[in-house]
Amino acid sequence: MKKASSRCRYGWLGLGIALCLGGPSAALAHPHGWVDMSVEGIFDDEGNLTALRQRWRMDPFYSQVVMEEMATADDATSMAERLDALGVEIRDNLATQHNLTTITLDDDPLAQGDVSDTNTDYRDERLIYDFVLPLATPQPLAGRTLRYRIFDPTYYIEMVHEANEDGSRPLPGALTLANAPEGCATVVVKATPDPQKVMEAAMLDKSETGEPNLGRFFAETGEITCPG
Amino acid sequence: MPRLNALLKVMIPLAMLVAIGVAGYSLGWWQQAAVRIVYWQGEFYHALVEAVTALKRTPSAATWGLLLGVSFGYGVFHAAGPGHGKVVLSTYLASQGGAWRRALGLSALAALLQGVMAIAIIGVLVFGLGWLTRQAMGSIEQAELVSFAVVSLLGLWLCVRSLRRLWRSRHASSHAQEGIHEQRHTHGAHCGCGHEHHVDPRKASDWRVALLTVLSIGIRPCSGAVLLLGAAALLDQFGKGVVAVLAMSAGTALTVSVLALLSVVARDWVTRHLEPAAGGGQWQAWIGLAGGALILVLGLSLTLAQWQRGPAAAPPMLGAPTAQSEPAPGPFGSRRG
Repeated sequence: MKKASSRCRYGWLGLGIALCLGGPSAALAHPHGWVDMSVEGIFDDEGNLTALRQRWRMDPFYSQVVMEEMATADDATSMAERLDALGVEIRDNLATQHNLTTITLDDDPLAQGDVSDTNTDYRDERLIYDFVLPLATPQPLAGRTLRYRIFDPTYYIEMVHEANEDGSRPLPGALTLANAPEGCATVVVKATPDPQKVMEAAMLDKSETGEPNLGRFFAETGEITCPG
Repeated sequence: MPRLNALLKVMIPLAMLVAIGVAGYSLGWWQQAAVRIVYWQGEFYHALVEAVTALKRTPSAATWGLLLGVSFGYGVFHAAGPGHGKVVLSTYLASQGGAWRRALGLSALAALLQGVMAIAIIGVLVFGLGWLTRQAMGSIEQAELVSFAVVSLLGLWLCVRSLRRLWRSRHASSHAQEGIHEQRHTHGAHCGCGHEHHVDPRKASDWRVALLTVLSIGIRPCSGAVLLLGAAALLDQFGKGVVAVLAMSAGTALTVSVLALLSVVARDWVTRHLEPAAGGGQWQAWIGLAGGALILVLGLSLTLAQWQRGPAAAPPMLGAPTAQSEPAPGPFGSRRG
């Protein structure tokens, strides 16, 4: 963004006043924390996809900050009970934002059911939240492609599939299938944000809602394809 | 024709710069650079967390070096993203004058203040008053509001000062002799050529304005720095966190001072070419007024936007785990800077 500011040098010549005012509006949010996710597509015995089981590992710093709070609660509850309460709290918060998940089947949006089987855990200095997100109705995938994206719209939190050391390749366990029909395949596709659209969104959203909704541009896409 | 020549000398390079800017935008270079910077910021945050963890596990020269390097880089790229601070500083320097030494000093002070504020927030609120880190992070929003208010105050001050100068120079131009003296004086006090005639009452006001500029930029710490310190403290690594945040400030200072120097170079260049053609000191006062007005509008619009949004408007992704009476948003709720 050096260039945006170098424009501002001439603001006092009257050339860049509008641009300079646009400068801060173009503020690109950037992540201040991340979640390592793994997803499991669950099929029923008829070969329909019924749910996406998700496991979120919060980054070490965020985990510390949450655990500090868990440790200071001055009631008689046990840590396990507190973690359970935390899970319920997270579930209720995420329910208002469709669990940060969007699912499409051959590009048609799919409705979600209510989250179940939430569990919260603290392991290896990471807070782990897992839950089952059912589809509103089970879907046969034969000959079709299901895509999901999980992201924080504000991009304050970066949501990424579990990946190798340098983050370049998702791990095999990042997207798996349970009880899937023969031949179903999965792939995690990295985001390729269109810079022009990112910029436009940054300017538009900032003036309208106060926060640029950039998360979607940087979201990975998980794909499940089954042979027809 | 010398007047026309001087104008041409400015306008041609200026037109070229604008052309390059427009070309850069339409070819998508800027946008690509912006997206790249966002990626880098994310990667540096990852690296930072890993560096703290590595240093905790095996404290050695290598892990210390890693932490310092990553923190510095985080500061550099964090500041490369846009923020009101850089707009305020470059507008201030471009319109109000000031030598490169002042540009460097203000940049460094503002960056350092940001780091110190982060350390103070954790040190005072968490260690002193026993707040939770998450609550301390919530206080950044208040600091931000204060910062925006100070920007408005700065803009207002600059406007008033320029108006008073304009009024004075108009008044003085009726006494031709005095007017010339005034103009020379203005020049001397502003470009820092080093010949100080006598104690200038403006100097004191200059220092107050400079201080206000530093405050408006530095009073709001980066939430990344506060989170880093809070987490480091929880891991019993507070000292290392402090060192990392200071390295971060140094990185921020580097980026900001490069921008500040660019402002000064550009301003001096334009001044050199245009001033003889335009009306001298009075022209400068008009520019000062325009710059002040720009900062005032920026400050007011930011303050207003922040005020309207309020703390409740950004619903936390993960709320408070237990009932909290403090009106602090979750760590995922304070979504700024």
